[in-house]
Amino acid sequence: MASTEIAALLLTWTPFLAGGFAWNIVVSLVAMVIGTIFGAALAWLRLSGRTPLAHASLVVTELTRNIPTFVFLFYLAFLIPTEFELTGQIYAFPVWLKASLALSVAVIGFVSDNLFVALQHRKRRNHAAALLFIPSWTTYLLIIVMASSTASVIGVGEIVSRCNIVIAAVGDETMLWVYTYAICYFLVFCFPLNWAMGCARKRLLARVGVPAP
Amino acid sequence: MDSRSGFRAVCLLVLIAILVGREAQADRLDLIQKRGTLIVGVKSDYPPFGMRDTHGRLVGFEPDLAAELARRLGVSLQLLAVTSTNRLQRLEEGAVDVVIATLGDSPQRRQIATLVEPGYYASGATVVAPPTPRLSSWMDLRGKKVCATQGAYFNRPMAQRFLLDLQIFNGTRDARLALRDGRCVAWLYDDTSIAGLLADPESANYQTPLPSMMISPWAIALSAKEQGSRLEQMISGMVADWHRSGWLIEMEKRWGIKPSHYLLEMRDLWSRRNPDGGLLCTRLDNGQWPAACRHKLLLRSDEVGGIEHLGLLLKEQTGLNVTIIHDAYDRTLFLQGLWITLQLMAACISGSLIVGCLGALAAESGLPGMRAGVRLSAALGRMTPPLLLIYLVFFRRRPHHRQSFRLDFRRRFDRHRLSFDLYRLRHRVRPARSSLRTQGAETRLPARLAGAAAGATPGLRSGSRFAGERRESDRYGERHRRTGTGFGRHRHRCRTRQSRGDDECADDHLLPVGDHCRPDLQLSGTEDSESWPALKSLPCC
Repeated sequence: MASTEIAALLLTWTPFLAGGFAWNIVVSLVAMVIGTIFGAALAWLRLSGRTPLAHASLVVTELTRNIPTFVFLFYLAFLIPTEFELTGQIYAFPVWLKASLALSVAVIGFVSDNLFVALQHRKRRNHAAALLFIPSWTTYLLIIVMASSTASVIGVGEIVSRCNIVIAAVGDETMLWVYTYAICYFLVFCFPLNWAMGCARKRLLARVGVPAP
Repeated sequence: MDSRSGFRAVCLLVLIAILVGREAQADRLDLIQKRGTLIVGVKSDYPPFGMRDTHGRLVGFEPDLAAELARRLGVSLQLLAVTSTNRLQRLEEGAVDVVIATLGDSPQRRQIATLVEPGYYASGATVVAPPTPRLSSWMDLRGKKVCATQGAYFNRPMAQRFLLDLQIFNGTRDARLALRDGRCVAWLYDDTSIAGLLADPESANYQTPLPSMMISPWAIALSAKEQGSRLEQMISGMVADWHRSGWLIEMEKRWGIKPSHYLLEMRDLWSRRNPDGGLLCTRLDNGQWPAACRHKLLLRSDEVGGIEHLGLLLKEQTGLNVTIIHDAYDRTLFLQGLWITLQLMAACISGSLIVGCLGALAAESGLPGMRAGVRLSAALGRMTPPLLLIYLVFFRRRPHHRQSFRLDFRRRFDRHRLSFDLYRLRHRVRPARSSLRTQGAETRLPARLAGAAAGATPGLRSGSRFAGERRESDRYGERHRRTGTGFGRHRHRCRTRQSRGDDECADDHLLPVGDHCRPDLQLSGTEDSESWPALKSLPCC
């Protein structure tokens, strides 16, 4: 296949694939929001000073850190019914939300651990160190964006599954190009955020007084 | 006859019926002996197990078993023809004492009749195929068109297990003709009926090259009231004797039936001895056979001990069928999967450590451009989803190997490892350069995803029952068929596939890995079909 042909093909499918990548972002952001809310609650409980509650929170954190997200994805996909009935009306449970829920488990563990440290810093009035939580959180968002591609295996129409659709539709000889093109989306999304967060982290570390690596 | 004497006659008849009925209820064995005749229901349409000879008499493998039963009971024999639909009903009515009519043992049938253990024969699913191309394993049929007869219990599980592209036909004749015309490479059917079919000169050159799967034992049936009765005990003792002496194998030979593995295995099992010299399969105090001598699928929790007991109890009490607890086969698969997970993790961690350390050393070596190069490759690695990397490394086809591209397990494993090494690399180069505490939590995710890769090995059965993507792709396909992009072509292939009346294909369980959707995806036999769930969600069927 000539390179112009490939370029034309990728261009034709760009709206479709870009739509898929938007789903990756949506799934990841929702996972981060859910995970942050529950993770923050766990971190707050750990700092609450009440021993039984702090212990329970620690146990839950450990648990969320050690559940494989991929397995949990399948677990939720089977466990949560695709449709449910509420006051006589049938609603579909969106499959992307299942993916978000599965990914949020990892986020809960992360936020619980890191926010715990950040809150401790804030108590000691070490605000710059506490603010380090923000770049860490954003870096973790990028990791979740990477992981969101696994949602394709339960049928979320995100970029990897749409790549498979494209490949199935136009033929396998394009596989390398389509996947490489998809990787570009991730790179374009991640590079600027990563760079910005690297800068933020450097500045904060300078304020804390730790020499930047 | 006036009305009064008529009424008396009716009363008398009713009384006799009640008495006879009660007597039958009291003990069927006494009734048989008093009557001097054993009435056995056998098939007349299932050669060579039960059929009519040129004089119209019922003969075959099963009538021979019936004759042997009667001989041992010391009574004469009367055979009655029954069919698949009325055999259990005849039994319940009391019209026959015993049914020996190709009746497969199953928990559902045990609710309505007494099925004698052990079974005297067994059937399973196998294929008839022409001599070429030669089939050596079930995996050779992956993605191929296979004819099947509607209604067979094994159609769906066999299609799912071996990714057969089933072409369902209404009757055996249609399926046979389709096979003859080359519309499918093989015909999936009951192995015992196939034996009768092969005896037909027209299909003499066909073969059954593959071992039978999904074996279900055939049981002699008594009425539900006979559970635990003397008659049941006697018959089950006789069948056990038949297995021990190899008499059933002789009978099989006599009727020209292809030797069945089941009978050989049963002969070994029933003549196996304990270390103390006694037979392994002797009745326990409660009159039952030991669990080791019974059919695994039909056991109940109170009949086994240990971990199987727990698993079956869970299934009976809650309906949760966790087969990895009570099914040794599934358990082995699961443990194998766990073992591969561990291997993968070890390989990932050590591989990425080595590559990461080398990268860090190279970055610090001071060579021009080295530092930037390492940083760039680490960043690239960090920002590429592992799943995409796996697809790229795993499925990328080398054009000159078009037909013979086959992966064995070891190569597959290496490829997984490679992908994850790449993935870990980015997380190893960085910690070497960073010291902040929060880093620790970040590096944890990849290990988890390594566990995910092991989900790609046997053990995870999951599926494409998620219609979400399908709907999505349908909508898109609709749009693109109008706009004339490549998607329309794909939809067309899917449609032709469905229009063949392949009803199983219409639901999401059948996998679209057939030659229609992924013409060149040929993975080798050792590799489990279920291992690539993502493939299942391709938008076909």
